[in-house]
Amino acid sequence: MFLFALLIAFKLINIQFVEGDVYRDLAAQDATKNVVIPANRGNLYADDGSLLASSVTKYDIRFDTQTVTKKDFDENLVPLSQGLSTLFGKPSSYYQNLMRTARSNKNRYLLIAKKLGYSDYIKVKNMPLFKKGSNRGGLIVIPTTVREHPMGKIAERLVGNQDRNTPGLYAVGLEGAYHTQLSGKEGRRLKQKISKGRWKPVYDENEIEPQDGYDVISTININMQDIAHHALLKQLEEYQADHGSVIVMEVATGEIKAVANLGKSRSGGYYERLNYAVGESSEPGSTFKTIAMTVALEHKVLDTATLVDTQRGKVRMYGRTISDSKRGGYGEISAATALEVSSNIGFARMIDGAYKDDPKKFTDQIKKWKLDQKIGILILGEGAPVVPEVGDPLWSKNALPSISYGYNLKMTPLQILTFYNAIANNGTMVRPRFVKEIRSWNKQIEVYGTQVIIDQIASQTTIGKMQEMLKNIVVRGTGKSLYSKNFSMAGKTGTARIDYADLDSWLKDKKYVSSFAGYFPADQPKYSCIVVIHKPSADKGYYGADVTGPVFKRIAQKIYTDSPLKAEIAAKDLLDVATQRDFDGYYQYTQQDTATMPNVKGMPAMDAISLLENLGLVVQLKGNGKVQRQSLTMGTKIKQGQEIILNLS
Amino acid sequence: MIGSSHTADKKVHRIARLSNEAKELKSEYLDVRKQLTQAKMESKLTAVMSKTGLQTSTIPPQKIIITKKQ
Repeated sequence: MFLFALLIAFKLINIQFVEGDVYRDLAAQDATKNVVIPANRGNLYADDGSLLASSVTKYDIRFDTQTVTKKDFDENLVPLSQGLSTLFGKPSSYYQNLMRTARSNKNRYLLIAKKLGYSDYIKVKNMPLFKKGSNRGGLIVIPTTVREHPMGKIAERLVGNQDRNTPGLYAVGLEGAYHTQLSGKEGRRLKQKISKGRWKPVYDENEIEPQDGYDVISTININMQDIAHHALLKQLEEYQADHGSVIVMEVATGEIKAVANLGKSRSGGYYERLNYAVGESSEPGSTFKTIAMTVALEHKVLDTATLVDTQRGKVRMYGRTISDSKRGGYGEISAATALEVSSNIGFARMIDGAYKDDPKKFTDQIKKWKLDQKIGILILGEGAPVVPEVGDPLWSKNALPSISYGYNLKMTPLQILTFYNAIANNGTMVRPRFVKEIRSWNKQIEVYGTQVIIDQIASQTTIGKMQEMLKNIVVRGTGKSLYSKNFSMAGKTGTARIDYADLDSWLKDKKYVSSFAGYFPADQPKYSCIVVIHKPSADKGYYGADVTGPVFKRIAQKIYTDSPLKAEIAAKDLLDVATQRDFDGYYQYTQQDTATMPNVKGMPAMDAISLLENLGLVVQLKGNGKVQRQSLTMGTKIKQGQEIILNLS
Repeated sequence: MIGSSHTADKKVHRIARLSNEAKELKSEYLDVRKQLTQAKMESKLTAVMSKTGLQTSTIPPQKIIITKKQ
């Protein structure tokens, strides 16, 4: 007996003193913990305050099949399955089977639906059985925070999202570029365990207060984005192209108003696949001729009227054949015409003629305009341009003529657009920009203004000539199929071969990049825009004017039809006597007593409706024009909601 | 002491309930907002209205401004 007492005493001492520290720590760990208080991620807005991305709670619905009584289960299984079936589209029998099997398998955690929005969640919550709650109804709701994009799939690449495999990692798009500002700072706080599995703070103050993320207001305009997206989609589908992108930029400020990037999926549909507009650096083709022409005009090595012989559409230079798209060639044409008809031979001969002794002078000008450098936007993955110069491995005798019409160098659509925008902006090159400001609630944290890259890329004379030529391209050049008498556009078409290293295989399956860069309206431009479509099906067409031009035109047209035409007139006496009489007469009617039916015969239908509806009647019209007959006679007492039929003539 | 600890506990439960409610309300707000954003997009409207024969205008609206009145 004494031995037992001794053993107990020994164990006590052992626990208290020898292992004591370990247990005391464990106890403390169980009852208190240092919790991280997550900061709310900021919202991403469009230029008008529409939401592009925001964090929101979504609900996973699971079902505990065991907590429900047999009676409840049998009674509610069919109506519940029907409810789920109408909401989610699967047959009612599917849900009946699913839940029956789960119940016999004693499943206490059956998945019913994932990531439901709030309104769907409420619908599920109010379904038969589930409305009995968690204990009797078996409903288990698991809320999770996800990033919601109210625009849906539109502008998905530009907005960006968290990494699919690493929640919380934002690398791409605007989400990635402004991650630091959006994410805020998480807080920390010591908490103690209380009942119902909740934790209460140990101290009054948070040890570290969480700081919510800032809101980022982008320059994207959802209307333009919508138009750009659907116009691009339509052309991609029509031409069965591989992928394409559109950028719309505000001329004066450099604000990017829309960026659409669509690529073909394996199943043949199109979706926002990669940010081609920013990331894809490729040979620009003929849209580069505008840049080459600006260099030459600025150096005064030629003028718009300088003649060049493009011969019969095929010319050999340094052992390589250059050809024009028109059979038989353009013959002798002016430099301006060479740009308007987009003659490769014209450009190769003009630029080679002017710069063959000093090609560096030509490439240096391009470098002076910083077209050999990345623009330096914050979004991850901006493609690097490639502009070779004398001495580079890429340089050869052929390099200069090739560059003149857009080969043997690489640029991204955004970089080309920046140059066209500078021409539209009378020579001032501004940096394309995606974000307007950063806010914390209603406090401005940072405002981004227009950033000028180069004050004046060329003289006003040169810019004026360029603007004139770009305008004429749409009036009578390669873009004339786009011409509209209602609204003006200026721009340059481009059709470049791609993947042509192996000529034989290229000839079997001709691959092109079709593009259109320009601005609108032609005078006092408001927006510049570039459309690039890669690998349209060559059987259907590949010329810039056919493939990409319509996208450009659609956006230009949209902006034109959205801005009202203003006409100012100095009016003397606008009042028509008859109208005035009707107007006064109507006023008298409205002053009459409201309990009886007035006489509306002879009154225009529009007046009669407003008058009668104000009296509480429900009006039905038959025919057009003025009231001929009224189904309630004058002086009848009116009941609210009563129906009246008016026959019009 | 025990009493005040209980009031504190109660407050914690209340805060938890209210913040859940706030989350649900935000969720509802965004849900409705998403529906609105999607519904008012021109491409959606055009698709819906094309059934009734309505199309988007090809000419801009005219705004007549009367500058002088007698």
